[in-house]
Amino acid sequence: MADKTQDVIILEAGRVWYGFDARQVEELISLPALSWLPLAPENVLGMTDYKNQVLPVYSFPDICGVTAEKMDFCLILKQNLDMYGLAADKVLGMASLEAATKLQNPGIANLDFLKIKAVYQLAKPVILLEA
Amino acid sequence: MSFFKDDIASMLEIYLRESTELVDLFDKILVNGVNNDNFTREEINELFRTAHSLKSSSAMMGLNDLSTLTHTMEDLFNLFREHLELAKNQVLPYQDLFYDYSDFLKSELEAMSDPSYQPRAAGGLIDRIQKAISALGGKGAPGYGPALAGKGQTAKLSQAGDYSLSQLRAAGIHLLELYFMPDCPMINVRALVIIKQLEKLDDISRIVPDDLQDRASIALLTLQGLKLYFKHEILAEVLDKVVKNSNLERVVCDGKLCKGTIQTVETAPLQAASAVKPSISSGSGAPKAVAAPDKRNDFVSLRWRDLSSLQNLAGEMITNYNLLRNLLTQTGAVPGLDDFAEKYQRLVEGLQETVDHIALLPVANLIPQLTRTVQNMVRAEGKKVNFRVTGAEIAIDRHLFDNITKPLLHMINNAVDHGIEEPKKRLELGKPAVGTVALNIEKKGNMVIFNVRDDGRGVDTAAVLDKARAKGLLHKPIEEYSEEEAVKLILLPGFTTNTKVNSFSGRGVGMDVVNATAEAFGGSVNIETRLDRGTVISLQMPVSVTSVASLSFKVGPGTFFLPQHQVRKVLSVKEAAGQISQAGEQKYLELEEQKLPILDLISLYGCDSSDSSYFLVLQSLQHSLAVEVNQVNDVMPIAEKKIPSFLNRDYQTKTGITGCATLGNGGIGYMLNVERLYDICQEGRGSHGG
Repeated sequence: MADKTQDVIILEAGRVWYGFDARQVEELISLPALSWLPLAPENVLGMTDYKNQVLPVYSFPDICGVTAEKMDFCLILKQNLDMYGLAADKVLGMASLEAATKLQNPGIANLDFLKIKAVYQLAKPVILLEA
Repeated sequence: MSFFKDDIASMLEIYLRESTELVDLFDKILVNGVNNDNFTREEINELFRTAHSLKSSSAMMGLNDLSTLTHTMEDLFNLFREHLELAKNQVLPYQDLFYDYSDFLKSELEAMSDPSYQPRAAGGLIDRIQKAISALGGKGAPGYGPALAGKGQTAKLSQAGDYSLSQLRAAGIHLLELYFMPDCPMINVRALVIIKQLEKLDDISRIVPDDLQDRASIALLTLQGLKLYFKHEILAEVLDKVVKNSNLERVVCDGKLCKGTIQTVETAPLQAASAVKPSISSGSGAPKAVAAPDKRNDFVSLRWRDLSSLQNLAGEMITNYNLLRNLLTQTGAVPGLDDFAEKYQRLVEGLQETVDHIALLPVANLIPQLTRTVQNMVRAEGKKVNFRVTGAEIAIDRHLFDNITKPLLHMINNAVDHGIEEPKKRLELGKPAVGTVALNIEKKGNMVIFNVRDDGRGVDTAAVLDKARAKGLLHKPIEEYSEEEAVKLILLPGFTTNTKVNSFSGRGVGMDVVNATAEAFGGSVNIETRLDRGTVISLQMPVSVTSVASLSFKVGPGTFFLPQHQVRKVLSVKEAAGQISQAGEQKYLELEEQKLPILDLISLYGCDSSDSSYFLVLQSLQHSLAVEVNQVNDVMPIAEKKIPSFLNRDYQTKTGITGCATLGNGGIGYMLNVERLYDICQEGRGSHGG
């Protein structure tokens, strides 16, 4: 049975709120120094060393197709056994999503490799993404 | 739902490790027994012990079928033990049974890691072992008795019931009674651990309570302690072990108190004097066994993941040392700091050496599996092969150890299946009917070389070329292939000249595994062959994988590495000026009568190509090429890390990058793969103007 509430980290890109399940977030850090990656895949800003592990860092505003302001934050996200960084300019904080506030799937397309799991209603709609 | 309940699941890791070691030991002895068609007394004792230990621990884990199976095998080896003459020339007829038993255990142990594991029934196998026991004159045959019988005594112990000390003495049986500290949690698990330790030292004939998995055993252990019956005099080593065990409040050996206080001794009447003066005491009053060093205590078990972490930390130390060295180069001599750097270097080298040493395992542990493969193939294909191994004592890194079995099996399969001819054919060729496949392992510097040599038919390079052409694997006209190049085509994925597929080869999966393993570990493969004389396949691998000596260089803003042993030469653009030629869009570096294709990494990675300064001449096992780079730095030890899985194989194929490393300044550098770079070059990407 699904959790009644789900803690999420809320990011903003182009005035839209996005959420990541807190269980998928390893850590929220300041954007680290990035190393150039030759022929980097789309939306990869560069590579970094996070606790002795080399991770690619993606640009969340680029993934969302919006112009980035100064990106100060980096969410370290877990995907199965792997991790990656997601650089962001606006991290709004944490919120609990109530099952009751879940909206009908509005049929929004996935954002690159980030799949849309559901949409919830807070002060604004929050698009819950799967890391 | 998981088969193992929570209280038992915590023991699974230990059970799997110990049981795997026991099955490996069983295999090792078995392979030797099959070779000689005989088991020695020591081997039978060892096989008996493996079955006995597996029986107890499997019962503890609630694996009833496995426990019964190993118990039945224990009976079979007990029969051999009691009647040694039965073991002579009786191994081959039962080799399938032994191998099936070992395979069954292995497959079960492997499956247990899966959360959905459910035990497989072993009834068929148990029946076969029981039939073997009957056929060999077991149960009911004269002289055959239960394992608990005192040697040469008429008195026998039954599994149930208690015995007085005088009865035990009459039967020549010794009793060790162990009483646990009050309120000791998981007392049955602790009892099992003690039993496991003692079983390594001596044979235990009977254990009370015998079913430690049963919850009632906790009560029995608490009230009556753990009773262990031995056929022979209890070893000082055994006594020492239990006396030192901090979980035990009291230890009583043949009625004499060796640890603890007298008032709780209930199982046998004792003289007070004997209670305070253990029979094993030396003249000084100290137990002899305590004074004697126990070699077994020189070893500790180490979790594999902890060792991996240690290796990673050693790798990080290397990275940090590189940073310090860079800083010193930039700042020039700093009083005191140079000395510190020198000491730091020695410490880092010492650490790396120690970690490498801890992670080493002898190749000998792989030999039973390899020998068994040869035995199976020989039986299935009607060939005669003498399989020899030299250098098995050489130790290699655990990572390498875990990855070397498959390529070695393929190399040996290849030698037996493709190399060695049928006995009749060999005789026609004037060769002995029995072919030879020899595995020689030798260490040269930081590399270990696995040579598989056979005296078979050799590789028909013309046939290889024809097959490769038919499969579209050639990348230049067939007549341009040298013998050496042609023979290496067998390393390509999907290549086989076998028209028949059998259990061992013919599907074209095999030698490419050897090649891929070599590439993955920065090693190489070499093949020497002579038609009708035989083939030698050499797999060269680094002994340690903690770090690889690598040449560092720059392309654009990025730092890159190549294993030092693959960089043949470094030439400045000026030095190479007269040696460059061009055909179409592809440029070549003409060097020592070789025409090497040039891959311009600078333009491949989209950087400013006008800044090109150096050519690196690269040599892998199969190919040579030159790459153009901006700047050459230095050779340094590099602790390579896996490339993130988000950068998939396509990315690696596109860039030639197959690994990463953290640089001294915290940045990331990239490890390149020569074969991948060569492929990029062949596709015309990164050539001048291409």
